[in-house]
Amino acid sequence: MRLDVDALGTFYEMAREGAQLAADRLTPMTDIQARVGVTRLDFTTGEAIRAELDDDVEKVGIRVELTGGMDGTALLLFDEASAEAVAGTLTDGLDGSDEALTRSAIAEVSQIMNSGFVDGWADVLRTEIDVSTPDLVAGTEPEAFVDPDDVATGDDLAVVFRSQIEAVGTEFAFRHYFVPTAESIEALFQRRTAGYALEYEKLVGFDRMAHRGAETVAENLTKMTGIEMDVDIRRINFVSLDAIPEDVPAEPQVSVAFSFDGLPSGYLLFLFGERSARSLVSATVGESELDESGIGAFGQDAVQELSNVMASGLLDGWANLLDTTIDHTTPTYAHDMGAAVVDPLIVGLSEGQEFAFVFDTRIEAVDADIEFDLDIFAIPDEGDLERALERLEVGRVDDTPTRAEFTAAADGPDSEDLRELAEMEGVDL
Amino acid sequence: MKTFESAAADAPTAPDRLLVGVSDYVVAEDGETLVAYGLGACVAVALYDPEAGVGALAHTMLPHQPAEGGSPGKYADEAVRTMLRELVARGGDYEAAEAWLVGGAEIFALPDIADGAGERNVAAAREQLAALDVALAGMAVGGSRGRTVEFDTATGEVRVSTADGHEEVL
Repeated sequence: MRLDVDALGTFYEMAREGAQLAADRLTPMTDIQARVGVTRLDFTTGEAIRAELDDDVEKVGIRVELTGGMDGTALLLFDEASAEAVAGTLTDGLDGSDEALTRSAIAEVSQIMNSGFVDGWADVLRTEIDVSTPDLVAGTEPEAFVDPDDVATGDDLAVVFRSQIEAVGTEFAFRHYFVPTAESIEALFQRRTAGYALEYEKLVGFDRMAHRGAETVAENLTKMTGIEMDVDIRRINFVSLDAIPEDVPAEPQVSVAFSFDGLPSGYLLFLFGERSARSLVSATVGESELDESGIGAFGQDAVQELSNVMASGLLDGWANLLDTTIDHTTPTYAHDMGAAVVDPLIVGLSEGQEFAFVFDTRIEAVDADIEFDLDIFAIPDEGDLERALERLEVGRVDDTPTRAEFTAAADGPDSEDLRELAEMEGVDL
Repeated sequence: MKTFESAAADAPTAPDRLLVGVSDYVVAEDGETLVAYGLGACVAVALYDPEAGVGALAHTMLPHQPAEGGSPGKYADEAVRTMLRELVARGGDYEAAEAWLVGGAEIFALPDIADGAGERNVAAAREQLAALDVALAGMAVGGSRGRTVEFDTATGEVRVSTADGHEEVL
C-alpha cells in the first residue's frame, strides 16, 4: 500500500474537522467552553495503544463500531474527574455519588460528541458512515477498551486518529481514538493518487529501525547516568507543522537541536525537563557543576556533548540501514519554553511543507520515583523521507546492525572515551 | 488521565482567557485575554481599538502569504490585513487601531535553520502595518529568548513574559 501524503493531509483535516464539530456540540449541552486541543494521525502499534490506556486512571466513555464509508473502532473516553464534571452539568450539580446517573449522562454526551466526529469525517470524505449502538466502557486497564487481538498485532502499525478536546479554564481530560481497519485505510488510499507517496510497508520497516535506535539511546543513557532507562513512547505522527508546539511540554526545557543532512535530512531535537537535565549533569559531571540557577556552563556543555553522542549513534544507525550517509551539525543548546524551542524548527520546515512525519520518542527512568525523561523529536524533510524510504530494504531491517557503537558511553560516566571527548570539547567531566 | 503534555493544556487558563495557537488568530470583543504561548521565531501581532474595546491577536509563523493563499493567521502580512478587516466589521475604527509585535527571536544558532526567520516575520508585519497606516504602539522582538504574550482586550494591556520569569508590559 502506498501512503499518498496529500490524502494523509485530507485525513488529518478530517480528524481536525471532526474534533471541532465534537467540541462545538459539547458547549451547548454542558456550558463547558470547549476547544480542540491536539489532533494527530499516529502510526503506532497495538501494544503502544494498550500501554497508553494502562495509566491507572479510571476512565469512562463509549466504544462504537463504524461501517460504510469508513470501517473501524472509535473510543471516546473521559477520565473520571472530567466525567463527573460533565455529568454534573447535565444533572443539575450532581455530586457524582449516583454512579448510574453519572454513567448515563456520560453515555449521552459521549454519543453526541462521537457523532460530531463521525459527521465531520463524513463531510470531508463525502461519504456516509454508519455507527453501531454504543457500548459503555469503563475501567483502568486497557482490556476494558480494546481487545488485544483487535488492533495491530505484532509488528503491524495501526493508523490512529487521535484528538483531544480541552475545556477553557478547567482541568479536563478527554480523548478520542479512531482505529480504521487496514482494509478501510487501503481502500481510501486507492481512491486517491498524487505524485508523492510512501510505501506503507517501508514506513513500518523504518519504524522498526527507529525502535531499535531508541532502545540503543535508552541503553546508553542508562550507562551514562547509572539510572535504568527505557523507551516509554515511540510513535510516528503525521501532523500539521503548526500543531507540533502543542505536543511539547509546557514547562521550560533544556534542549539540544541538530539539523541533519543526507537521506533523509531534517531536524533532531532532544528535550530534557529541567530536573532530568540536572540529573544527567550530576550523574556525568558531578553536583558541583550545577549552579543555583540550574545547569551551569560546564553542565550545559555536558548536556550538549552527551546529546551529540546520542544523536550520532541514532543517525549513524539510520544511515547504516539505509546504506547512505547522514551528517549532522554541531549541537546547539537552548533552555527555554518547550513551544519556543520547537518553533524555529517548524518555521524552518514550513517554508517547504505543511505537514510532517514526526518520529517521537520518550525515554523515561524505569523507577517511577526517579524523575528522568527525555523526549526526542526527529522531523525529516518530507521529500527526503520519501527518497530515503525508497532506499530501505525492509528485509534488512532485522539483520542489519543499526547500532552505531556509543563507545563513549560503554563504560558509563567514568568511561575513558567520555573523558577524552570532554577534553576535546573543553568540558571538565 | 495522562494524555499529551500539551503546552496549551498546561498553560494557566481562565474562562475569559483564550489561547491562540500557531497559525491561528482570534478576534475578541468581550474583554477576553488572548494568549500566544511560547513564541520563538514566530511573531504575535496584536491589534486593538481602545474606544470600541475590540482586540485581535495572531500567532504568525511566516512573513508573506503565497499567491495560492493559505491560513490568514499563518502569515504576518495577511494576519494584519484580515484582523484589521474583522476589527472594523465588529465595530472597531480603522484609524483608531494600534498594534503590538512580540516574538521573532533566534532561539537556536543552527546554520541552516530558517536563518533570520524571526527578523523576516517582524519586518513583514511592520511593513504591512506601515502600509495600512496602523500605529505601532510597542514591540518586544528579536533576541534569543522565547516569549509568551497575554493581551487583555478589556484594558489593552499587552504583557510579555519569558521562561526566566522576566515580565514587561508594553
